[in-house]
Amino acid sequence: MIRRLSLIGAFLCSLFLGGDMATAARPIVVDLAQHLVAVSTGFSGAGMLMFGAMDGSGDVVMVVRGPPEDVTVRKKKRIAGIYLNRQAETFSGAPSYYRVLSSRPLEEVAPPNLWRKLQVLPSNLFLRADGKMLPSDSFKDAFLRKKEQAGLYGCCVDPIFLMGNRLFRADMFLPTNAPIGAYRVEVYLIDDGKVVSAETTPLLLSKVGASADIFLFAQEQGALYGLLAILGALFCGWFAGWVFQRR
Amino acid sequence: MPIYLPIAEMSVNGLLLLGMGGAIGVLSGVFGIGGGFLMTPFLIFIGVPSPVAVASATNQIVASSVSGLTTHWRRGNVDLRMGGLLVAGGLTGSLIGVNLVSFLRSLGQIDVTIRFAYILLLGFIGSLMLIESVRSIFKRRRGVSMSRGPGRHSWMHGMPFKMRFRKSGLYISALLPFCLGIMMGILVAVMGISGIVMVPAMIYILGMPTQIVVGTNLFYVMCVTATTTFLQAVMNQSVDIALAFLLLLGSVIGAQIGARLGTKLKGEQLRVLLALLVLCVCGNLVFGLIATPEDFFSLEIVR
Repeated sequence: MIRRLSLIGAFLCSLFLGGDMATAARPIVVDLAQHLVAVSTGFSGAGMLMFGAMDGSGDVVMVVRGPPEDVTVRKKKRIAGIYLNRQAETFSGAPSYYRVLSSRPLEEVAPPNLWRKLQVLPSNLFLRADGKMLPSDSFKDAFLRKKEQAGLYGCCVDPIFLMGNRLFRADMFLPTNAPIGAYRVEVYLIDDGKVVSAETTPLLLSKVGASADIFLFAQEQGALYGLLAILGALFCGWFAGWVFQRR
Repeated sequence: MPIYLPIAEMSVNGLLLLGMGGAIGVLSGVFGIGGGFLMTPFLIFIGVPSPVAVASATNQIVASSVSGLTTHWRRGNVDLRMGGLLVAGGLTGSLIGVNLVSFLRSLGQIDVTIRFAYILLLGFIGSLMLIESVRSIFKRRRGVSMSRGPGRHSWMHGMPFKMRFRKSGLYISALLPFCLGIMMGILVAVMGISGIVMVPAMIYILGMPTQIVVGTNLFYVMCVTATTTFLQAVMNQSVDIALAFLLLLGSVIGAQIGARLGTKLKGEQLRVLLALLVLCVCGNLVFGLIATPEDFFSLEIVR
């Protein structure tokens, strides 16, 4: 909850920054080629096309956030010659997926303190562990590193293409391990080191077809699902035995 | 061949799972073990969340044990009476074990204790088996006549409720397999292992012939894993049918090949191989504890 508030705070803050230039407020509009990504049995990742229009010059920065999750980070320590998990911190409400796209390298677009305010760049995320405002650096670093290794966190790899200071478009690839749930795409128009406009749009990753049916069935009819799983396994095992006997 | 797993919520290579299922199925058929001790770590390694990996591997083992069981059944290698007593004890034991786990957890440091107990147990069983079976191979070579079956404990013959187990050629107390079942059930609940300890226990404690042990243990494994799969599905919703199905397609075929291979081997050869397998697993666990990890940190999604 606190986490959400801080997100909203960051967002309001960005609007306020935009308000700095209220007289010259320049709208930005953004849309996705599809707001619903269907995760079916053959899902092997999905390409996302994001496009939009803006008024006048500037740079575009996009942040894609996955649904929040709680993650425990454990650290191994050597005790009497063996390695054991000794310390742990639980990060609550951290985005399960996080990716930043920009039209130019971030350091050329604005000074670092703006990125800190907007929580752009994984290292600028406000992460809280076990209720503490500031988690230990080593645990936060490990968390970000692990997420990056899993391809779930990333920055500044995919470019945003600007066309005649009017239109922009970006391609992004959602990996196969992208978490299911509600995503949010934040778009900032930045000119002269300041946010002049901001917009968000939702993105939903949802299971469809057989994979959704199986998931729902498992959740709602656990006993029946379990029985079917066992009967199916018994049958397959018996059938294999029968086939091999005949040969 | 990417296939999206609905419960694990990730996409995997279907062919890889088929191959892995096949390989573990062969082991299962030869030794009469479930193979969960190999399958679960493999699934976790490719990124399947551990509760889903455990539950789905259990479901797959139901299939591979039935597949191996049909072959052993035809060859008359299953002692149903013994198996039934073991299953009854096993289910009682797992109830005790589940409660024991929560008690130990309240004391703290349960994970370390379990891991040490596991290593000691496997190391002890593995070395004993290796020594015994190698010795009996040499004895046979020298032409010394073998006493039937290893391990003879005279105190066991004084226990009440004696029963005749014709398939195993034993006349022992019914309490023995029942109590062994209870101990194994506790082990399953506490450590998540069964076959790899059960097979040596049946050979050395009960004194059953090795071939009958393999078939009977497959029966035991089938009953226990079917029960566990059901409980996992009801309580945790963590059984991934798609994952289990991919694994079992490979493993039912592997188990057939394995069961055929197994019946070609002599009892003591089978025991040497199993002893080596147990020692490998044990060595790997020790290595995992003492080797400097590549990464000191690990992540686990809580919710």
